[in-house]
Amino acid sequence: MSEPNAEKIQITLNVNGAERSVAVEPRWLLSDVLRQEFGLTGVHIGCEHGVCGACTILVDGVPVRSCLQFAVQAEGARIETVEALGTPEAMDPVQTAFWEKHGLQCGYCTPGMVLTAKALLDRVPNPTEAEIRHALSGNLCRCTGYQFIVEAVERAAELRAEG
Amino acid sequence: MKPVAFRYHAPDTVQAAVGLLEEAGFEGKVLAGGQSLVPMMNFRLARPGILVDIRKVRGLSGVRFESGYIVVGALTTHEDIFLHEELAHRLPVMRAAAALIGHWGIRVRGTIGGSVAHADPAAEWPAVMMALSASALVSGPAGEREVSMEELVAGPLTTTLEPADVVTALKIPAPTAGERTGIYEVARRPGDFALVGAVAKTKGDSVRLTWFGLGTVPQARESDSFGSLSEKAQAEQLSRWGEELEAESDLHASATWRKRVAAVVARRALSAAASDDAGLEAGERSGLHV
Ligand SMILES: Cc1cc2nc3c(=O)[nH]c(=O)nc-3n(C[C@H](O)[C@H](O)[C@H](O)COP(=O)(O)OP(=O)(O)OC[C@H]3O[C@@H](n4cnc5c(N)ncnc54)[C@H](O)[C@@H]3O)c2cc1C
Repeated sequence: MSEPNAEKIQITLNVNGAERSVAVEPRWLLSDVLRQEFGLTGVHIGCEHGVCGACTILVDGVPVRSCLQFAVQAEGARIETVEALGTPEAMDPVQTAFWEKHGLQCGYCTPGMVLTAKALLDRVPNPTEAEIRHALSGNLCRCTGYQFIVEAVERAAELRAEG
Repeated sequence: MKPVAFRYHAPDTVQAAVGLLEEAGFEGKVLAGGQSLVPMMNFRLARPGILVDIRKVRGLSGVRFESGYIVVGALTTHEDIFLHEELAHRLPVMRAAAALIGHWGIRVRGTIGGSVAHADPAAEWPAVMMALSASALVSGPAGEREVSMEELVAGPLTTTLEPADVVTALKIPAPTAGERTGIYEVARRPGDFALVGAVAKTKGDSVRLTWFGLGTVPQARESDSFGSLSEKAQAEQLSRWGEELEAESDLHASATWRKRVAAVVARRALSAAASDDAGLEAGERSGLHV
């Protein structure tokens, strides 16, 4: 994605717990830098205009669209992508819940769903169904019809409470 | 689907931002929350050569209560406004309106100053600010000035701001005793831009309605005696106003539909104004506010 003579700016940010430094063109979107410079392909790119929520990441603990900010703006930020959550052997409770409740089919929206759900549960440990639907309203899923996703978040709240 | 190359500046004072914009001329653009500008850049509908990111400018965020005025900094996000307890207490329509904007991930970045400067005909803040007789505080090459909302919004996505102008705050007259404001809108899904929305301000029998989402700019109608009319006469007045309004047709709704719904939405905005939360719970709020 590099232009031959484009000026680059060095940024340092915390990505999934590690300090990382990278030179970026100002026009590079944070979503692209996370995928292409850091290999974090769990950042799924959908609409690139903020509507679908597939590229949702946490910046300083808050869910945002990574396609609607430039990487240069993330200087000093703490970024979490779905790769920060768990491993296949030791999944995060939110991931376990999505698996148990079949909260996904094709999986494209899943990283954004999981991260938004995690941010919600970090603030409201035991949300109502309405609160879950409100929080997830900015993440589109074209497979599930949302029902199982909502159930997965309810289950995740239980799993987190159990510790 | 990627922006063209641009030069990036992130000044930390308003003066520096104005200076950079002045140098940039028509190439320059302010970047605030990026929730409207970046989508347009991704689609290359906007191709600024120089971006002046004002997020690091100090003092542009937050709410101040001054004598007779409430001043909301331009960089205050929709979410900040939603969460502000004292603001919600003094002017509940601010919380009710913030709840209708986009989704969680949009509200935590998008700003009131950006929304007003963007002047989307379906956006909540330009209409709410107009309804409240607010003005924008603007810093430019010639110094600071105050611009009324009517003067600021010139058309769809068009304002009278000059290229080197920065909106620093919205200045809202503090509500006087007995004044109530509420908001209601219809959207296809929670968080979508409104198909039709209205802000109602009432005091005694007088009513002022400001609609958004119908035409190219917010449109207002007022009556000093509305409250004294019979229910039937009120309904007729609202329908007449709906008929009169300028309305556009698009993929989602025809102009005729919008004009009819304008009367219904106005009625509900009036109920919202009468309620303690300015329509928050009755509205299709789009997100969780935590
Ligand atoms: C999926 C989605 C749904 C949305 N839904 C809604 C909705 O329902 N209602 C709604 O109102 N909005 C909605 N928005 C838009 C959102 O509210 C934006 O935050 C807002 O319109 C622009 O604010 P911003 O801070 O992001 O501005 P930016 O995108 O940074 O800038 C927008 C424009 O304003 C100019 N500008 C910004 N700040 C200033 C300033 N201080 N002085 C001078 N010029 C300035 C910029 O140069 C640019 O031209 C939605 C956005 C998305 C992506």
